[in-house]
Amino acid sequence: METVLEIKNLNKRYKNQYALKNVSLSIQKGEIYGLIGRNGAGKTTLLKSIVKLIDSTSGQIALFGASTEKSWVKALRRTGSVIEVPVAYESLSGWQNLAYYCKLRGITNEKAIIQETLDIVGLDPKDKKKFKHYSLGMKQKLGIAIAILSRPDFLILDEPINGLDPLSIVEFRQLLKRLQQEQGMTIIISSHILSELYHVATRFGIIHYGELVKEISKEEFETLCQEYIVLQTSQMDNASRVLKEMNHYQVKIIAKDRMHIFDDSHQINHIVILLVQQQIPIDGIYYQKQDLENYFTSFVRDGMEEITYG
Amino acid sequence: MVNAIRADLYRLFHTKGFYITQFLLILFVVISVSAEATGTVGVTSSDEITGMQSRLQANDWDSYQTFIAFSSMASFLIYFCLPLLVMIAGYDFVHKSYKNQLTSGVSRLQYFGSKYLIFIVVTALQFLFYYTSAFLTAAVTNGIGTAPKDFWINALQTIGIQFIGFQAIFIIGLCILVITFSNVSSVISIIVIPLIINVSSALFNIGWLKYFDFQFGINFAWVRNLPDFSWPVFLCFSSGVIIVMSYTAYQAFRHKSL
Repeated sequence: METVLEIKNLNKRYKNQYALKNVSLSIQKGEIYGLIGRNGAGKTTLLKSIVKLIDSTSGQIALFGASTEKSWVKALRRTGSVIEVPVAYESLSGWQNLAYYCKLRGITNEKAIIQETLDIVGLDPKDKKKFKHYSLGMKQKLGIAIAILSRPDFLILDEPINGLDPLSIVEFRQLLKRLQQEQGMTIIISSHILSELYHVATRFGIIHYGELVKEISKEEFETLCQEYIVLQTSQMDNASRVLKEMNHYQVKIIAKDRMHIFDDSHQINHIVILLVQQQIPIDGIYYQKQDLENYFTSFVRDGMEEITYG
Repeated sequence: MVNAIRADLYRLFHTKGFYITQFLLILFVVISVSAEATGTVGVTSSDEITGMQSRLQANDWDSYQTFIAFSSMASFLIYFCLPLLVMIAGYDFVHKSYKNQLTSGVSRLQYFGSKYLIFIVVTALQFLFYYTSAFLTAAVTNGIGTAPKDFWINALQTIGIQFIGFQAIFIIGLCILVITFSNVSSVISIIVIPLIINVSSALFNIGWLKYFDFQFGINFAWVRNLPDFSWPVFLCFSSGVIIVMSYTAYQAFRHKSL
């Protein structure tokens, strides 16, 4: 399988502070790579380094195998990107903006390409509205339309879901899947909205204080995020002892009155009976499944230590 | 490069600001021709120039006299090209629309080069528009008239000198635009720096300073025999500024974190 992007030991330092620290990752053709991180974690810096908007301090980036200045610029012709916010000419309509970029990139059969691109992103080709009067969702769509105008092999999207309403988010998710499946694009996407990222990405990378602290595929994540039982009780120590010693359950204490119980058999009735027999009060007990947001939060909060269920 | 010029011309022709600028330029031409009055920006104090202005006032403004008169007002073109700089390059730098190009396989040298080239082409067209509209307006109001001796050679030399002096002024503004990413700083520098040099040159008798007075050069390019002034030296100074400032602007852009 073709490696679209290979990053090795990438560092970016601003004075005494590292914006990126020893970041290494690779993205294979056809993947949708979700980049997760808090504000200022280094996501945009990483994406800007890939597209050469900023120079890295040290390390290597190979885009489509190209790492020299000249070949990199050539490789960038196979990419499209929306970094930070979508930008277009405010006094032009969506169609006119695309016509401008078609002329600039020497794209022939301009009319057909613009029509098709607007169809892909779901903008009305007959809409004469100027870019400055677009809603945020429409701006995001036009930003992507400009990025995919040359039908790139690799699409780089920085926080594209920010500010979108729920309906637009669903449309956006469908758009990304279409681009991957119908156009065969490889995509790297950063976002805060982890629930949405979970739906579209095939692999995730967690970036924290400039370091890529965890990479996990969707399959690995689903295996890892098994269903568990949440128990709320005022006698945490007793409950923990009983569950561990008498039934060898794996438990993780989350708060002073709450624990997670991990067990493949999902015998919630058995646990209730056991605790009642030991006269341990139950304030609440229910099933829950770890989602990407919980995973990320726990990961960052727990000081980047691997989450264990024991 | 051709694609970039086509694209930016397309954008200009779809921008309201472009038509407003051209309308104001035509208005300026019509009013000046109707009033048969010239004006300059800055300070002038040469006998040859005063003589040129007197001759213009003595003659009817046919097309040829109007052309000569308008050559002495060409520094006004700076104000009619400022919006073009803002529309062509300023918008891109301020609104970061360069990202769409730089991230899709256009090198910074290609980008900067194409933006500058487009500006040169558009200002050349603006010069053409300025002189053609003045020539035609005068033809309608006072007739074409008879061409003075060596008129066309003089006209081409004048436009050449003016165009190079003009680019020297604007490359300073472009350089400041690239460094600051601010249209306001760029526009102010284009207006204020030539004025400061113009006034300083008139007030202080510094030999070389007059060759940096591009505004003076633009306004009096028609007058070939200015005392203590060499046009070839002026062209060398102007070209030197263009080369040094364009290199500085490119280097600033090349190393800028975007």
